[in-house]
Amino acid sequence: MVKKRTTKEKLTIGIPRALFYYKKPYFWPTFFEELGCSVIISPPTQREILETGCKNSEIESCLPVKVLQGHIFYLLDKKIDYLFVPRIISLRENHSSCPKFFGLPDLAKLVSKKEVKILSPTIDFNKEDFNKTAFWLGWSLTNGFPLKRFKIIKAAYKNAWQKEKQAKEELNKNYLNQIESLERKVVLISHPYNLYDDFINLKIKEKLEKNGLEVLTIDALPFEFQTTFSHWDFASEMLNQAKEISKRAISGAIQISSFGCGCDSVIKEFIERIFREKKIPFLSLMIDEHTAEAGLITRLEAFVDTLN
Amino acid sequence: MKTYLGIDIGSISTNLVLIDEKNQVLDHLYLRTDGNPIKAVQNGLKKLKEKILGDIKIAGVGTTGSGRQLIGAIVGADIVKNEITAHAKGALHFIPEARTIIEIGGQDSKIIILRDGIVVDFAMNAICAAGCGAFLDAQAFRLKIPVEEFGPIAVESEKPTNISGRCTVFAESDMIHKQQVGHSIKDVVAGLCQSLVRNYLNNVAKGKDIQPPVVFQGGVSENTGIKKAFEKSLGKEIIVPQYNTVMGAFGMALLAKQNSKDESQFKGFEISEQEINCSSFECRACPNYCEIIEARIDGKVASRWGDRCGKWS
Repeated sequence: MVKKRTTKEKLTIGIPRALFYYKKPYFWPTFFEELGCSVIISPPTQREILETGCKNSEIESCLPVKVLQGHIFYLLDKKIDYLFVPRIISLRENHSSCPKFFGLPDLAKLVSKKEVKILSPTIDFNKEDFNKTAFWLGWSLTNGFPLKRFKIIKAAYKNAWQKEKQAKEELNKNYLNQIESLERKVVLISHPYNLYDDFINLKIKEKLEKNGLEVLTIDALPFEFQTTFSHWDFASEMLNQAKEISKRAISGAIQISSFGCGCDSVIKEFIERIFREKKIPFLSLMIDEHTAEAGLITRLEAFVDTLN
Repeated sequence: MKTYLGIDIGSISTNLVLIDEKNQVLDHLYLRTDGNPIKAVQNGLKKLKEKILGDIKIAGVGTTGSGRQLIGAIVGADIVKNEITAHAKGALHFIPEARTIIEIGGQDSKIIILRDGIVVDFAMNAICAAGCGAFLDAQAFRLKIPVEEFGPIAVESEKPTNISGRCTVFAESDMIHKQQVGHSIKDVVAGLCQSLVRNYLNNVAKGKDIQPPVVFQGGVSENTGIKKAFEKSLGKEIIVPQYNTVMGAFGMALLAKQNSKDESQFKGFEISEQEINCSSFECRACPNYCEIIEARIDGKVASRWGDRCGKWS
């Protein structure tokens, strides 16, 4: 898989800024850098990336996968040795990820050039602890290091987690400030790769803030995880957070799902019910390749008017 | 006399409503947009000017509909609002106790849920515009029946044919097929009305608590066949208010009045005579390549929009 290298040799790893990236934006870059690799992260999505993605995707793919494809193409044009596309099977015990995540490395392999290898650890919490998965990945990347390999990997893992944790704590702290503020609050519900990709969500957060609303994002909420009926890891997380936040003083909830998302088509309904039961205004939005904002703005404006 | 003008620029129709200070409608126009919103509004203003006699002063202008930004910039609107708010405002003026508004326009269909005169919930059609006025229009054209006669023809039918309502492409092939095997036109048209209603209730109004009084407005509410189909499916009386086809524009006129300031930004009826050109170009300052739209009145740049960053607008 990974060739032998000495400590002096630098490997360049490309990380697409899409899908799984947004789940752990700090962990992987730090981990690789600590192991002496240089990291290139593709820039935030822009039109060119989206267009390349759409052009080179299978029509039936969901929008986020098309976006990922675009980022992969961007990185393939850069000088990289490895393209990081993990095979994510499950991010929680007794849960499963979206089936499309299972096949991402294969998708990447199909489009990439021969010189670029796909770095694709299998992440499956049902079978192996995450630290073990990361360790074996680190082990293969340090193949050829003379000494202290064990120590280097351990330190890299620790520091990477530290960074990720800090960022999460920052988010949670921000949440506590927000929930205490007197402004009207709206919670945005979606997957991190829709919430934080401003090109895809047409800057929805900014648009709401301009209307004088405090915007909470669902993944920044600090509530303990509890199992739900859903076997999907991210759906369970979303449902859980939604249930908790619906008990707080919020003015409305907006759910964003991407066109063609199979999991969302099921979960959407259950999320809506949580807020409906509490009589919290709820808006469901669908995002797609189209860049015309008119439809989105109409719905947002009308929604803000109903809150008034 | 102080008056207020509301303009609703939709995909199929462009409507203008002029009200006085007592909220009385002085005049209303329902015009075809015909793919050229600017021309439609210019025509509308011209007609309005000819029809209105006496000394009037436009003290406020409001625009709504999918062309609201464009026309708002061109006529100098004081307030630009989304269709939901405009329609709710208009309907509540006539039926203050309304609890549900069904609005079907050319490309959008909406359900608005009101409680105690306040919009508490709404929904719009998602990606697909199946079951809207534009489709009815296309079918009317295909059958060579004026769309205005769709309603009376449908109401005559006693055994409406089953037509698929999920997708307009399927609906059309279903209609053609049914015609070819010998169903009468009135049964096919009535079947189409029922399928549109079914599509609306299953997709747009999905899961909403439809409580009476139910108000039906928008261009499609002119169609008595659809009204009848709604009444049959819901088992409730459907109220089609006065000015049903121009309700958005009426709501906007009310909002313009409510919002009026000392001086309106209205550029005057002269704009119907001026040369207005819109062009677009791609901004290459960053990789987003936004499409910038530029409106020129008599050669002078009046407004620009379409950028994500605000560089041009």
